[in-house]
Amino acid sequence: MTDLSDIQHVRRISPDRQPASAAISLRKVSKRFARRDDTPLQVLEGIDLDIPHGQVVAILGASGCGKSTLLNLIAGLAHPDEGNILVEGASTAAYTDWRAVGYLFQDDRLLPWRTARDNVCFGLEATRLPRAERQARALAALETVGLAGFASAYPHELSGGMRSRVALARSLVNAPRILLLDEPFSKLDPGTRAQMHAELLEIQASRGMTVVFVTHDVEEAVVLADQVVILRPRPGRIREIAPVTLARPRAPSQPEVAELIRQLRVRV
Amino acid sequence: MNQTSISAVRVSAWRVLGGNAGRRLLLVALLLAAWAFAARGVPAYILPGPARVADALGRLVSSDTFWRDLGVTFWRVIAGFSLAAVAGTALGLLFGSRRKLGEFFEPVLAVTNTISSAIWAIFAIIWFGISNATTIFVVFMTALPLILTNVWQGARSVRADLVELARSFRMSPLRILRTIYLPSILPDFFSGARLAFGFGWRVSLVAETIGASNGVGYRLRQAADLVQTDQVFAWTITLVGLMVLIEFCVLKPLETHLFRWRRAAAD
Repeated sequence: MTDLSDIQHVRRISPDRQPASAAISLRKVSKRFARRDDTPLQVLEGIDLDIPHGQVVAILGASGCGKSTLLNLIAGLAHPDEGNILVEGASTAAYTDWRAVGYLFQDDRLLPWRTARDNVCFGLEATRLPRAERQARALAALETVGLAGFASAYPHELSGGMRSRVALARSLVNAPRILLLDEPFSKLDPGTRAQMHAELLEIQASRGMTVVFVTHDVEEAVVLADQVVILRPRPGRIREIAPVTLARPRAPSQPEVAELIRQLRVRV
Repeated sequence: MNQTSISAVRVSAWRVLGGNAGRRLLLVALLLAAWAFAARGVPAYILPGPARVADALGRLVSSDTFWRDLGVTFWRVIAGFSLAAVAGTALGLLFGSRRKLGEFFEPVLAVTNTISSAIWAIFAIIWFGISNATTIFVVFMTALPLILTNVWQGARSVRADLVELARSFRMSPLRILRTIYLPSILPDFFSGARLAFGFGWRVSLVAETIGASNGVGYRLRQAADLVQTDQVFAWTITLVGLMVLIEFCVLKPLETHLFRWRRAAAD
C-alpha cells in the first residue's frame, strides 16, 4: 500500500486555519422533522458532544434514534433547528473547507456508468485541480484501498467488498481530516467487513484522521472506536458516552472485548 | 428416412446458408423474385419490375439534383431533430426534476401527442409557406414529444442517493446536472431520439411533398405527378438503404459505445 503522505502534507500545513480544541463540537443540538400530518417529530434533542482531533467515535443506537440525522447535521447536509455545530471551530453554516470532511454512505453509491477510477475522481470534480492531477490522485487513492489493478473496471464487474473499497477511496481522495461514515460496510459479509474495519483503522492511524461513524452494531462500535456515544431514541438523546481503552487490534473473540460488548449491549 | 435424419438434413441446410448473412441474402432474393413475378404482364406505370427500377435508380443517382435533394432533405431533418433534441431534453429535465411543474404541463403533452403530423404540415404551410422552415417545423413538432416524454421519464427516475452524494461533495447544481442527471437520462434520451429521428425522417417527406420546391419529398411528388412509378421505387430504395446505413454504421456502434458499462450487467 502507498500512502498519500504528500497530499496529506499539503492539507496539514494550510496556514490560515486556527487549531481548534475539538474537531467537532455539538452544543444543545435539536432537530425536528415535519410528519405527513404536519405535527413535528422531534428527532434529536439537546445533543452536547465534543469529538477530539484524531479520535474514532462511534454513535451507537437502535434504528430510528436519529443517528443518521446527526451525521447529516455534522456534514452540513442538513441544519439544526436549535443549537450549534462547530466543525474545526467554525459553525457548519460558516465552515467552507468541506473537502476536508469525507462522507462514506451506507451503500456504495457508485455511478454505474463510470469506471472505478472515474468514480473516485468524482470526489475531486468540485475542485479546480487539472484533470491529469485528479486522475493521478484517484489512482493513488485506489492503491490505498488495494484496488490499483481495477481502475478501469465498471462497478458491476466488482464484488461487494471491492465496491465498498472504491467508495472508501472516493471519500479519502480529498485527503480529509474528518471522515464521517453512515453504517459503514453494513451490507458486506462478516469476513469482508472485518477486513474493511482493519483497513479503515490502518488508514485512520497513518493519517491521524478524526473518524465519526454511526452504527447499530455494538460489536462494530467496540472494535473500532475510542469512544462510544450511546443514543436513546424518540427523541434522540445521549444516554451515555463510554470510552474504549482496550489495545488494538481488537477482535470479538478476545475476552475483554467480548465482556465490553456484553456490557454495552445491556445499555443500548 | 426417420425423424432424426430429416431434422439433421434441415439443420445442415440452414448451415449451408451460412448463418445470418446467408439467410438475409436468401430473403432478399425471394422478395426480388416475388416482385419480378408480380410485375410480369403489369404496365410499368403500375408496378415496374426490378430491372427497370434498377435502371431508374442508376439514372437517378447520376442525375445532377440527386445529391442536392438528398442533402437538403437530410439537412432539414437534422435541423428539426436537433432543435427538438435540445428543447425536449431541457423541458424533460425541467419537468422531471420539478414534479409539480411537470404534473401541471402533462395534459399539454397528452393533447399534442394526438395531433397528426399531417396537421402540423398544414399549419406549417399556412405559417411558413414554401420554405425550409415548413419541413423543419413538422420534423420538430413530431420529434419533440417523443424526446420530451423519454427524457421526462428518465429525469423522474434519477437516483436521489446519487444526487445526495454529489451534494456531499458540494457540487453546484450545474455540475450535478452534468455529472448525475445527464448520464442518468442518456439511455432514455437515446431510445427517444432514435424513435424521433425515424419518425422525423418519414414525416419530412410528407412535409416536402406539399411545402417545398426541392428535396426528396418534392421529387417523389413530381415523379407521382408524371406517373414515373419507377422513380418512386428508386427513391424508396434509396431511403431504405440510407436508414439501414444510419442504423448500422452510426446508431448501433454509438449505442454500444455509450452503454458499454451496461453490457456485462445484463449477463
